[in-house]
Amino acid sequence: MSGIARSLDISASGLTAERMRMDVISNNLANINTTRGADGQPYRRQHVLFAANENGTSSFASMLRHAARGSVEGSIGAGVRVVGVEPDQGPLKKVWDPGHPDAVNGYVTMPNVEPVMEMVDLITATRAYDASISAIGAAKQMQQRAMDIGKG
Amino acid sequence: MAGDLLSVSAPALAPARELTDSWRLPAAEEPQGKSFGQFLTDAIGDVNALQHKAGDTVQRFATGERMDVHQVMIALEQASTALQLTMQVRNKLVEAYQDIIKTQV
Repeated sequence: MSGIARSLDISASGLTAERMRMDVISNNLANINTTRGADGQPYRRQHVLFAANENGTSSFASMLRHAARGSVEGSIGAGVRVVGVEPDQGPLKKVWDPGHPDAVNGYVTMPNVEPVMEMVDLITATRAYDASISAIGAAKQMQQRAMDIGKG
Repeated sequence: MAGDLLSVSAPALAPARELTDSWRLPAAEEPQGKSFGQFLTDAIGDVNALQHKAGDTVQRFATGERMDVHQVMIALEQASTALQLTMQVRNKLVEAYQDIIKTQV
């Protein structure tokens, strides 16, 4: 039964990761004009970092079982996980606006969020989400076809 | 969600298990590995676990816990697939039983 549950769990981890990326992109877009962040600094664009799950992290018992049998299935990965949300290290934009309350020497430091880049990331995240959904559909169809072996 | 599948189906499995046990070879010649009855019991246990997990996921989602929609749908789909597989196994068992019962003596 682990075969059935496993492929869907791997795709589910991909869907969760892309959904988190969507949240980070939405946050970037919402804070595109935020000059006062939590620590008084302007908002910095955020990146989300993904890491691949090694098979060992899924469960110790299954790893032991696969190693004892020497089967290849033990070396298949277990999906993706989000390891962190890091601020972008690039320079912030300076805009000339002497009347602004947050202006320093006439320049206001604005967040380094490019709307066009965020829209492209949005499209990429949506396509990756759709790709995982297609993988789930294909796995489900494979299982249904396998069950048709018994009929007739 | 669908009740405890294991407790409901365990008495129904008893005749199937007796049938497979009576055909078992003497201990010295028995091949290593699990018997068919053991496979069946393990599979039923997995199906039961998946049903419980699906029911638990739906309950947490319905009571407002923040959960991804796809996690709920995947849990439901896994439980449904596992149940369909159990139905196919049951069909095969019943078919085999009927074929044996029809033997003319």
